Amino acid sequence: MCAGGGDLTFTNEGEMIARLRRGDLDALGELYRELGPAMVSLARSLLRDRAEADDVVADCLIRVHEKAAGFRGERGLRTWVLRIVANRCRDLLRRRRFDAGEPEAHDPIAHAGLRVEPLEEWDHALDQEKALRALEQAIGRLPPEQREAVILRDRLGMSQEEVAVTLGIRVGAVKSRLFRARETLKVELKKLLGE
Amino acid sequence: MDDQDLDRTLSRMIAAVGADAQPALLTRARARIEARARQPRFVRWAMRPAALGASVALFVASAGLSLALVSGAPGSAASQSSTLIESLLEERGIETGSVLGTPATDSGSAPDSGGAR
Repeated sequence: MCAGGGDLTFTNEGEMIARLRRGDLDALGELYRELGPAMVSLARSLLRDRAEADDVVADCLIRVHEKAAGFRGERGLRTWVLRIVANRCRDLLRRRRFDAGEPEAHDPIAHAGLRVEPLEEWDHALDQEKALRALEQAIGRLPPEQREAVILRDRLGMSQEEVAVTLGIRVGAVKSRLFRARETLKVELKKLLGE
Repeated sequence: MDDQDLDRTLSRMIAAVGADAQPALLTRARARIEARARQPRFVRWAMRPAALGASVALFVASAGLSLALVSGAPGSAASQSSTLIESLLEERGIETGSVLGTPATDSGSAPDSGGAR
């Protein structure tokens, strides 16, 4: 299951874009019902701060409403909306570099306001929540550009092409970022699983 | 666990964490959009960062230009002071040309210059 609703598509995206371009607030509501989980998951996963992430999502909805008139819809509504969210998060993370930043949370999942979907086929000798928390901390230690790629691909279930469009980079760069990120995370996972 | 299993487990674990859309965020965004729509058009335009920057730049440029025009214009501070001195001297019956170091025009040369009349 994709936590961010990665398989969602609009039944009539063209019509939805036309309504957004006219400034239809009900269309914005429908967009949020479809893409809201992905927007919130992305912002909270990247920023790891619930309040800040929620502000970003609200700001991005306003931005979508304001910028829809200029959106031609060539690259899809979902990638456009998530690109707005990713860019806003990137700006905030860049600003965080200039201050001391936040100490690593004891429970990064709860601190970010994320929820856990229990995993089936899990070795019950291992504490699932503890393992997920440790993995979340490892994701948090990844360089920002690798973290973005992993969240979009594995958490939101986007294809590599969609990730490339969302981040404004080439598919080759996405593959490279994903490979490096996953290699790092697999090392962590091996430690967690006691291998 | 082989590498493929590890990859699969990793993907499942990452996908198991997520978030739900909070209706309150949409309400908050809609309220802000509607509040903006109620503002007069000019205020909305003036509140945009680019417009604000442009207004400040325009103000600074026009203030600078006005200052330059005022200081260079006849009747400005410098020329006014010279007129004042002249008028004071004239009031006391002293020729301004000799005091200011310029030859008097009525005699052709200054009285103490030794020049031929």
